[in-house]
Amino acid sequence: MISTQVGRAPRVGTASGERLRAAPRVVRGNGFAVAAAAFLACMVVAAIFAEWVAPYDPMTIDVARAGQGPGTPGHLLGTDSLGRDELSRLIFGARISLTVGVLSVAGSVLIGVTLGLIAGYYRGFADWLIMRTVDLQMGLPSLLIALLALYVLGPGILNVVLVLAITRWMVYARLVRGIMLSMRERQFFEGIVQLGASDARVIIRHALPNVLRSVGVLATLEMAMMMLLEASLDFLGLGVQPPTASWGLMLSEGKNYMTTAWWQVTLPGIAIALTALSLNILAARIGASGGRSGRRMPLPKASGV
Amino acid sequence: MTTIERTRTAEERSSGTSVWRTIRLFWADSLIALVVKRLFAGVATVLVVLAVVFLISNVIGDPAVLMLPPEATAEQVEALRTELGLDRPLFVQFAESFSGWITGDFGVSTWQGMPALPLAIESFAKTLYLAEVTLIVAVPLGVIFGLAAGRRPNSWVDRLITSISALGVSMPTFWLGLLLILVFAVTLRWFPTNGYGGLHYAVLPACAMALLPLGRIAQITRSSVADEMGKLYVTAARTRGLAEGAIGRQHVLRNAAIPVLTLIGSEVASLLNGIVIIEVIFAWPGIGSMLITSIQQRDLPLITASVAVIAAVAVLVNLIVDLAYLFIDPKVRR
Repeated sequence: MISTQVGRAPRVGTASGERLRAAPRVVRGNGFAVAAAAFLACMVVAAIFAEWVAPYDPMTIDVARAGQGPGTPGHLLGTDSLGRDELSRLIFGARISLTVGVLSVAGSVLIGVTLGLIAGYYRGFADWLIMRTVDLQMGLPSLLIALLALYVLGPGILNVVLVLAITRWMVYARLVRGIMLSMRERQFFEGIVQLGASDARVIIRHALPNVLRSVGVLATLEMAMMMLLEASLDFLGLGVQPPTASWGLMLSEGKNYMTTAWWQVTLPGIAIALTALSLNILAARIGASGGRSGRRMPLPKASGV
Repeated sequence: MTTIERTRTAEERSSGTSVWRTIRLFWADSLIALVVKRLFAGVATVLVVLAVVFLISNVIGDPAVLMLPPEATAEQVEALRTELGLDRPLFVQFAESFSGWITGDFGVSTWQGMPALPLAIESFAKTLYLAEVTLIVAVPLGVIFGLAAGRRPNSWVDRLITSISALGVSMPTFWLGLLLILVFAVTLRWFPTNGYGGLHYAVLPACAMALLPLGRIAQITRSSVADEMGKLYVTAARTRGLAEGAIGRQHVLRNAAIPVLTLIGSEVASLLNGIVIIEVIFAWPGIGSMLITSIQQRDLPLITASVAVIAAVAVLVNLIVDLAYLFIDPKVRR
């Protein structure tokens, strides 16, 4: 899965030149990375100041102007089947997408990193229990778990965030545990323990800073994954509910007018794809840029073997 | 020599007769033991998943509320609760459900009025058909692209393939599905927009689903092959005068296959992710559509049965991948 890619990327920056040439170079030079960052920055600004940036209210229905294509005067990207301005809905949809993405990634990082540190540091039964749960979730489709949980909890943006965080925490737990285990073998770590630092101090002051960069790369990739999952859940009718503007909902509404209004299924999809692509490019860039190098990020272990 | 014999007899005395010891030693090392162990672990996994589903629906939620339409009155909920025996202690209900899972009895679907498990299995057969077409497209193409790119890193072939696979990985599966419908079904009218049928119907959904695993397989194959090509044993083989093709086939492929295999195993989970939504878009009557419809119909027995089938498939595929390791990578055998 994604985590396999992540494990590969940082080795690029740290190992020999041979590795550097052999590694996947999604980003040639800085051009793509700059474009990706600029796109994401624009999106964030537009999402935060949506009320001022968007030309119309995203919910205002104007049946007289329904189904107009992109380029119509007054409606840059056209209108949907209810005459709502497509561009405004995209901008407000970005707000939903980003909010869910950021919050759910934050939630899963919190759970995953905590449990990963505990598993790697204390080992024993806690490690066994946590890693069995990780393996269990790793083998199951994330969407399946999310669908079930939302069926019971009911739809809604807060529930989506909660469910997504619980669905994806295990990728961080596995990564962090791996780093923790290899860190335990290093001398500086043994030194700290010998000096009599408490468990909490060792974990928070010494182990945590060492995993943050790897977690950052993974979180960037996961952000794209979360936004895709959110759009899928909205599309299936279990996430954000109409008439709220969200990319997934726009796609599911646009699906019904595919024969007459191509832009309704095309534009929200472009927004999702560009965001995911930008995040993937950035993650590869952060991973390859090295940072404080010398910290090899171990490949997440294959399940069960 | 005498010392060795003495230790052996000492061991024999401590661990029973030598026949049993031989059997136990053989058993510990054998592939059969490994397979049996993994199979049991797999069955346990599926049961744990079902227990979690039970917990979610019976403890966090209330099955009577979940199965009735949202506008149902309190009396209706109460009536259904007595009818289904939900007023009994939780562990009694759990024990009942648990024995049902083991015997394959998941209850009767409230939506279809038939036993839930056969319904789920029947719809899974249709999913399997779609998945087969997808994998037949994705795996060979991904491996071929990855090999082509990895053989000559930084060539134009490599750049083209890595860019395309990066794009493929970022493309949301369900949007790709909608685009394919828009272009090839609505505009060009080459394929039907949706529905179930022969290969003609499977082409668009399979292509939509294939792009993501294809991109990932190509990426991993590429970096794996490029990694292996830079290693000393390849140089050594060249020095011995082996032909490039022979080096590729006999040395590099085998070593490069291990990460690719891991990926194909983990791709299955995300393939199942994609299948749920693609089936809904293309109205393909597989397990994904079944799951979504049963959620919309609030049909708890059918939901549980569908989850059981999907979980069992995921577990089974991972098992097969684990076993494939044993044949490719002798290191795993200890």
